[in-house]
Amino acid sequence: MISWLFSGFGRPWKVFGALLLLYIGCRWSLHSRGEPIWSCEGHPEHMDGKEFWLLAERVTAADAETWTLEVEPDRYRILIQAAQDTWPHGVTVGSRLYAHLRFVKGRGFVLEPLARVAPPQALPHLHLYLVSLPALAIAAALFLRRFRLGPDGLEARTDTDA
Amino acid sequence: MPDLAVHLCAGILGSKFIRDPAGRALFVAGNCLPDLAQKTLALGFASPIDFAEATHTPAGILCLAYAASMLFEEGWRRRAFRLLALGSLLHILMDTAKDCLGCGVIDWGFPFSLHRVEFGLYPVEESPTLLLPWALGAVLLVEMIGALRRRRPL
Repeated sequence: MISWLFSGFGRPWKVFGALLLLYIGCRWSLHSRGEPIWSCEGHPEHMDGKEFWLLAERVTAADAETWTLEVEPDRYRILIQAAQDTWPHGVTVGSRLYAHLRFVKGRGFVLEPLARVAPPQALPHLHLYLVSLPALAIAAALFLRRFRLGPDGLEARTDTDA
Repeated sequence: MPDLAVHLCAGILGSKFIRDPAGRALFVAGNCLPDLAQKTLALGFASPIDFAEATHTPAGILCLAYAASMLFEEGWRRRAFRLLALGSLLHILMDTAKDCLGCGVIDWGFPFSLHRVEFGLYPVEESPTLLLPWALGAVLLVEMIGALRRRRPL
């Protein structure tokens, strides 16, 4: 079973694939331990005057008051900290936190929460999904027009114009 | 992400460089692969964003394409891997063009570096209005030219 699964690539691919999968798996699990809900670093010019919202996606513990903004001449950093002991403060999965970053003379950039918590969305980025689902159906149709499930896995169809 | 419709249009346009129709279908499927994996992790398994975003990295797409190519019969696996990975690469290139307020989008060096890169060309939420009409128009134009060429071979 295992030899069938990894056949078709030869030995170097097997070794490379196994090592890469192991490393990515380890790094992935480490990477996903991050504590901040949302953090952002960059050059202030990207943020000047922009209104934006932050989506508390996959978050069950959050407090909008823990927003911090550090601005230096050439960089800014926004950090929204997750804190178990402040939960719940109305931020649930799919909530949107609205904020506005503006430039104030003498003070530099100021981060202002516009509304602490907007109503949760059942599905974040809803309009993107509404456009994406038909596209997914089209992609699946294009794929299934050329491939079918055979006894050894997916195989190219021979009954369509090739 | 730009919406998948824009990705699909880009995939269809990019696949025009591949002669074999089955190869084109693989390229288009590869173009959808990173979002399929990310949404499966994020929506299906409630994974944190940091976990799911590795699907949008070069190393991540290599793993995804490698795993997905195992679904194909042995004779197709190498080719499937190559085309799925190429399609996915186009996907993350398009995602790199997003504007995420300067915080970066794609970890091109993952897992060796977590530095994110963005080109800042369009706002994340506005791809259906900003990009989709142009993408659909481009696909329509290319398909019409193709149809005309088939009708009147040069």
